[in-house]
Amino acid sequence: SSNTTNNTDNVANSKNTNEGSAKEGTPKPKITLQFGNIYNEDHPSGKAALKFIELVKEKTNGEVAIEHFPSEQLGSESEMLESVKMGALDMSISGTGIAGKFQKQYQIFPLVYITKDMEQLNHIMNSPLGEEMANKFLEENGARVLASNWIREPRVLFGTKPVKTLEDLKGFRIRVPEQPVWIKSWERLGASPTPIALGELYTSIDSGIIDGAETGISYYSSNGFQNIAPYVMLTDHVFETNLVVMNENVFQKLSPENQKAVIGAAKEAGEYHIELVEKSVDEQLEKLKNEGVTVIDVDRDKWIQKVDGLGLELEDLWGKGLYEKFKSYQ
Amino acid sequence: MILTVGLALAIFIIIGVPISFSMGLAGLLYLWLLPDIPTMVIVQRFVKGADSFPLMAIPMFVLAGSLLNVGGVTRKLIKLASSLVGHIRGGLAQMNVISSMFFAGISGSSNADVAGPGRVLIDGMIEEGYEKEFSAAITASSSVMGPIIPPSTLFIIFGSISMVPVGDLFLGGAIPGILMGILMMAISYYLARKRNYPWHSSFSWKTMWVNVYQSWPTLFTPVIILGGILGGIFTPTEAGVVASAYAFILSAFVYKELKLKDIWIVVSDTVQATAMIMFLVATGLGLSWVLSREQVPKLLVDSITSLSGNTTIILLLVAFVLLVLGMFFSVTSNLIMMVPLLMPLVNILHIDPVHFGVITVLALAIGEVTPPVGAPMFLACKFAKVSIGDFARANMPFYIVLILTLLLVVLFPPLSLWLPSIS
Amino acid sequence: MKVMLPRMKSWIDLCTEIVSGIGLIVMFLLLLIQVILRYFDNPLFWVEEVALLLQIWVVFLGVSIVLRKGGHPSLILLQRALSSTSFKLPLEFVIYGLMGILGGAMFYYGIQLAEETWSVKSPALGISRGVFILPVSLGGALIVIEVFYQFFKFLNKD
Ligand code: NA
Ligand code: NA
Repeated sequence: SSNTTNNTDNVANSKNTNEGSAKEGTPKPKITLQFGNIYNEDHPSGKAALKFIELVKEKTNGEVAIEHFPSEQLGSESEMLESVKMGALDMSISGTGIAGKFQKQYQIFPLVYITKDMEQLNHIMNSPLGEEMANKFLEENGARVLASNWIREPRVLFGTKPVKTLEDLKGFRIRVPEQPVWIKSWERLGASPTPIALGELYTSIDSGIIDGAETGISYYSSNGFQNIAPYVMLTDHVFETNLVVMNENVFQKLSPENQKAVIGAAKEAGEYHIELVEKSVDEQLEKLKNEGVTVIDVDRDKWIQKVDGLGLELEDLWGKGLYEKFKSYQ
Repeated sequence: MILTVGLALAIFIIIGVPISFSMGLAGLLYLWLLPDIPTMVIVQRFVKGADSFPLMAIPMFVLAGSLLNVGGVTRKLIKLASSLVGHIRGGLAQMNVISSMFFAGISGSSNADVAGPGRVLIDGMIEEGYEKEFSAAITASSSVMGPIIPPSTLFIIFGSISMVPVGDLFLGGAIPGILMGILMMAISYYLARKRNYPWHSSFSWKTMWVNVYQSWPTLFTPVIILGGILGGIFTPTEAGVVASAYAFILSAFVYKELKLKDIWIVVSDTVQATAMIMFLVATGLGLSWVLSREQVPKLLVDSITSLSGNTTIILLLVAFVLLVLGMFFSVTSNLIMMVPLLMPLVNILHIDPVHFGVITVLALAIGEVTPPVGAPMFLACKFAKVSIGDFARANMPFYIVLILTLLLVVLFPPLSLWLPSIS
Repeated sequence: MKVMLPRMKSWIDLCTEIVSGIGLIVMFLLLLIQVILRYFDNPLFWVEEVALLLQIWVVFLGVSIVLRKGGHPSLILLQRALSSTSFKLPLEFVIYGLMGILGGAMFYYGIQLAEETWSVKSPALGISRGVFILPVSLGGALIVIEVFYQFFKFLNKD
């Protein structure tokens, strides 16, 4: 992974690198793939996407080129995944939340405290269990999961008032995605989940319709929530991962060497992604503290106890037995 | 490839295929020309046009406007305007602007204003001897205030895309909207003197107070809407629902002019207006997907920033580009297409997002009254039975007012930022 | 034929208007109830999803109603210029034909996409994604019907 760090400069200047190698006379790509995602190019996932593109070029000796469509240019996460499934787009990045609509096992991730940290999730995604989920996804959707180790930052709780204990969470009006797992999880923790469209989240917190929400820290800081909801609780209640997904028919058009190279590149970019995320979480928390945000650590063991057994009640959502399999990794 | 599609689009529009169908067909053609991509992806883009919660504000505010129109509220507003300015030379023209200002405070869109009070006033003006071109022009141009003076469906859409608080955008639009109205009244007064337009009625304090008394529940609507949003009772999208419920109560129980069979007319009108607007959004999304795939908007933003580093100049450039785009596409399609691409500019140049939002919506809204495409313009031309060309000629004075307002908003940020800053 | 067709057509039109109108009313009531329920801390979780589904149905059924009433904005310059010439009818045919092509494409590709995404489930209620897509198909079919009916009327005028 030291190799990974050395390449950072290349990634930042990918445009120049392209021009440079064109002059050196790299062979013209045999195939150009279109790759869409929702991230800006300075978001960790956006940076990792650029890295992935660079690595694919390197590992396939320029035979596979990737055209990048960042920032939702080709649609939302869900729409791009739909496009990959039907073959209108070659590759996309999709969080497990969206992937759960396409393969129900992925719906288990929003179950709070199903995994305890990034390392454990990474371990699960690279284990036979992670592979089983990816294979099922391929079978059901004709789309291959190239890598599932692009671990996202932990989700935090934020709001207009501090939450130090479970007692403080009682009656806290929290916006959660409109899915049973999210709702049941937060109800069990004692909060009052309230449905609000994501597009109206800022106004709703600002005007006091709700007390707060739970997201990753970069969503919080890049949308300016520190100005209206200055309390961030490090609950680390959900860890999710991004899947790098590719249409299977297109994948089969690649030579076996290039198939291997593309998968290798996606996984390597995933390692880089984890590094970036860890670094960016630390940096952002530091910056937010300087801006006057109160960062509160909670006693996670108590929270974990509170949701004990919830997974068994909800297991119809993702299928019997999966919950126990996840638990066996702890 | 993109040129073929562009050319086809232009041909479809010129021969008279509805704009929405033209955009849909252009997107379809692009996909047919690209055999690798399954054509069904266009349906996905179409669905997205209606699959948006913030956009639900559109049917709800259209419903509110439509209820006001059949429920007699519109007539009360016109009477109030008449008692205030009917005695001035060109009184009906003044009333047209004033009633649009009142109406803008209740409804969120230009179309409802033209279809409601506008339609009544066009008939009245032509009857009193105004040129029908001028009647159409002032009606359409004054309706531009609809989405600038709060509430506004367009600010709701802008806010939902850019995450800029809608409450602030609403407040940001108030002064520019009112300024626009005052300038329009001034220029109408000048034209009325020059062209010898008639006056309407004599002034009486008593009539005025009677009308104010009868209209106050209506004039109270903006307070409910803004108060509810800012006070944390409902979201901007839901404000449309609350406004509709309030309009229903007013017309059914306060003014008692809403009949059961009117309700069906209102519902049917709303369905049609919603379908018309959202089908434009839907097919516009199909086309914008094509443009994104061909990197067209990115090229646009890059070339804007390469031209200058000066914030004011860039804002003027953006305003110009939006004015041009606004001539061809509906405001909603443009917002959906352009805001995500332009917001990076705001971050790079540290422009106040509320300022940027007001400029964007204003520039695009002006496009609604410029040929070749614009729903309120089409409506006004239809009611007055004039051609788009004649309309545009008669509308010259108001184009000057609209552009002047836009320039002032760009050059003097406090016009849009002062109210939000003190709230 | 000349009697049956208009009768069937007006029956289809009426159904379209009633279904979309009821859709709009239910949408409005759901959203209103949601505001009230949330005020009392007891919101429903499926309202947004169902309201959106209704909106999609209202919009795509509505498109054909708007078409029938000539409400879709368009540039009428050329049509008006040709209105008193023998090019008028062929131009109308071309315009309606093009609209019919889009309607046909919406119908055909809508079914294709609905099939493709039938197994995808909506987040709140687990409704199949296909149910959100079929209205495009149905709307497309209604456009095609409208276009053919216009053709039928053109031909019977002469
Ligand atoms: Na307004
Ligand atoms: Na007016």
